[in-house]
Amino acid sequence: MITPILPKPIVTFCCTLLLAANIAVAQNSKEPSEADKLRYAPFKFTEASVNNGKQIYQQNCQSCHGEPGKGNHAKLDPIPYDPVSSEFQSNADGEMFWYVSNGKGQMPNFSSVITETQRWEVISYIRTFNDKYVQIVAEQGKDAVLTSSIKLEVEMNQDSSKIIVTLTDTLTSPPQPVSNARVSLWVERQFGKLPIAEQQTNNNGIALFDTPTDIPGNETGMLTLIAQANSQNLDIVQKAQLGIGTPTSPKNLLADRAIWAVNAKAPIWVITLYLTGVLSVLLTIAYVMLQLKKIRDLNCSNKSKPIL
Amino acid sequence: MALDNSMNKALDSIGPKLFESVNLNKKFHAWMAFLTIMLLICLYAYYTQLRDGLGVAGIRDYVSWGMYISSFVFFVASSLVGMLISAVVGLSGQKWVIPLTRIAEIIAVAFAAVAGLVIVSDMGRPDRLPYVFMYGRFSSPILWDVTVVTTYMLISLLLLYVTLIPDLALGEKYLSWRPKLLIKAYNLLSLGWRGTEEEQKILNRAIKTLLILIVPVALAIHTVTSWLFAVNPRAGWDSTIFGPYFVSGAFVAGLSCLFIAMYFFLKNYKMEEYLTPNVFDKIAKLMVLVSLVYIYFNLNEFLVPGYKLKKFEAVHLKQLFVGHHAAMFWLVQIGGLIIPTMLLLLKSIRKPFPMLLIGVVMLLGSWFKRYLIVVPVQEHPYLPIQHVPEMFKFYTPTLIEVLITIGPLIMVLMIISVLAKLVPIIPVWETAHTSIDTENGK
Repeated sequence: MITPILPKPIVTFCCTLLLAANIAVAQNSKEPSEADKLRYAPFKFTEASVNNGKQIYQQNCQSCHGEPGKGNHAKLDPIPYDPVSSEFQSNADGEMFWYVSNGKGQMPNFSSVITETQRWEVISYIRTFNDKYVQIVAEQGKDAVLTSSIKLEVEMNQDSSKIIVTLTDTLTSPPQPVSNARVSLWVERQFGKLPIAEQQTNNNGIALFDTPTDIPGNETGMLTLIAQANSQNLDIVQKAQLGIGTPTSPKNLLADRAIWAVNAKAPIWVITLYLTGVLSVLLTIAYVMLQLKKIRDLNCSNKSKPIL
Repeated sequence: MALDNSMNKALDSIGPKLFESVNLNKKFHAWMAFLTIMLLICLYAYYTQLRDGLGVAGIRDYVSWGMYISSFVFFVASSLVGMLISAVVGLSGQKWVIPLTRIAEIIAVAFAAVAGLVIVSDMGRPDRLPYVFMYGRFSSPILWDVTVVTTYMLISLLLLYVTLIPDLALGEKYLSWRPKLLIKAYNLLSLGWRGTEEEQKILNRAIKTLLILIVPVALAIHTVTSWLFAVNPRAGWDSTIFGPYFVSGAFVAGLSCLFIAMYFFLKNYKMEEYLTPNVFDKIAKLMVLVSLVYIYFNLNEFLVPGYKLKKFEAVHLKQLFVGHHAAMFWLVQIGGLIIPTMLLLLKSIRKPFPMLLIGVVMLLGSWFKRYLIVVPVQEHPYLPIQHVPEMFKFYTPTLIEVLITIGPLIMVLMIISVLAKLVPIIPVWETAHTSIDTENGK
């Protein structure tokens, strides 16, 4: 039997993913909340941040939004506005940040592509095209300032099926909860991290996340969660193994005989064809050599005068 | 014994003349010295590549098969002439082809022997060559290719040797004026051949077996070479007729080599008696036949995808027809194939000198045709080429690369030159035998 290139479960899985991606695009109509709109960059925009932002813009945004001020954006519906346009600039910093992080319409979310700081840097670049813009920096003390003494814990509340991320400062005694810190939750995948959600810690230093129910885990359903608290200078990362995934046992593509496998697992027909071909040629050559030996033997035993 | 007497007479009438060329004269020494100097220059270029890496060649991430692989395909192609002349034409009982068989077999051995080296020149780590045998996979066309190239080399060498055995026995008689070492080697290799009927029967059996065996192996060698490309899904290589397309093209390349060699041996070895106008006329007609088959496969290869112009095929074909490679493409197709074929239809062209010119043109056409098969396809991968320097997008060979490509060609010339000086270039025994047969037939 000829092994199909991809086993059926993989094809089905890929199709499901594609379908899911389509639905995700179609349903990407969420809008930022009032609180999101009032979010500000945690640092003052500088020449350095503008330069970084320009680079990030050219790599990630320009293919659709075009070069600022030239109106050469991609012809999509709805139009990806030129950053210089009033439609674009009328957004608050927080709104822009939210759209970059979560996507809008056909625009994908960039939360797993560029870091929070980089997102703010892009905004700092975009704002250089607005003369009237005056930056408001996030109030000191409102967003938590992270230090290396802060401990991050991830656990699961079995009753409410919530994932609890706690931030505590261990330098103080007793340890103090860290409030107003942005915490993002991810799931570790084969290639990179899958973003789940972003939350702000409350007064008890706790950020609560809904437990995702549809993420494939290992055979026992274990997933590696990554909680990350970000600030401009320091990221605190904590990993935790939780049994919240759907148990899956992926089929090893090298388990059966296949055209891409090593010799021991090559398809029987390939081995047969190759070996039969090589052997029959070698045997024929051996037959010819045998004839030559016959000629030599004939002349060694018969020493009479040559006929020539 | 009447037959033996007439055989001896026939041999004596042609033997001294045909063995005359088994002699190293000043011309030969000068020619070999020239080739050696050229080869040393090319070897220095290869040393540069070994020292600094494949970056000294024009091949990059996208076009990673450049002149080297084109040249490899050309070498494999040219080596098929041995099978065409000795097996296909010889087995069909065409006596006019006898004077050409040894020349064709020598060409085949030379090209097949060096083809493997051409591949090594494309390796960044040639020390890993044994890995192909140690870790080769049955599913990999690379392993098939290595297998058939070595097998074909072996069979060609064996065929050259087996047909030589009676001539080697004649060495003692006609080469008494040459160094003793040569005569000793001749005697050793002749297996004590005396020309009895029983010996002839066994030898004919061996030759016939080899001639039959070499047909599928020769077809396999070039079909497998074509599969190195055709098992890819890339536009331009993804073709089901690549096997026969390559094989028919190989006959054109091989016969053009033979045209050149025939002219050389006619003039330098004074072989007018054997390489007669009739032989030139016949071999030219054979070239017309194989060229027409090749043109037919070209039509299929380009017209059918050209009619459909599927997205990625279109990019590739437009580059060939009207784009970056158009000049070379039309020059090769029209100048290197169609016009020479039409010219060969004229009786006045089927003469040694015009055929030498046509041989050179078609040989060049054959080489550049391989280049057009190998290189342009890689310039249009399915995934877009991004974030790379400009020189990665289009392939431009470097001088070092050109020298390294010329090196194996020089080796082929050297092998042919040496073999043509070690053995009589026209089969002596077979020619004498055939002349007696024709007399008896009368």
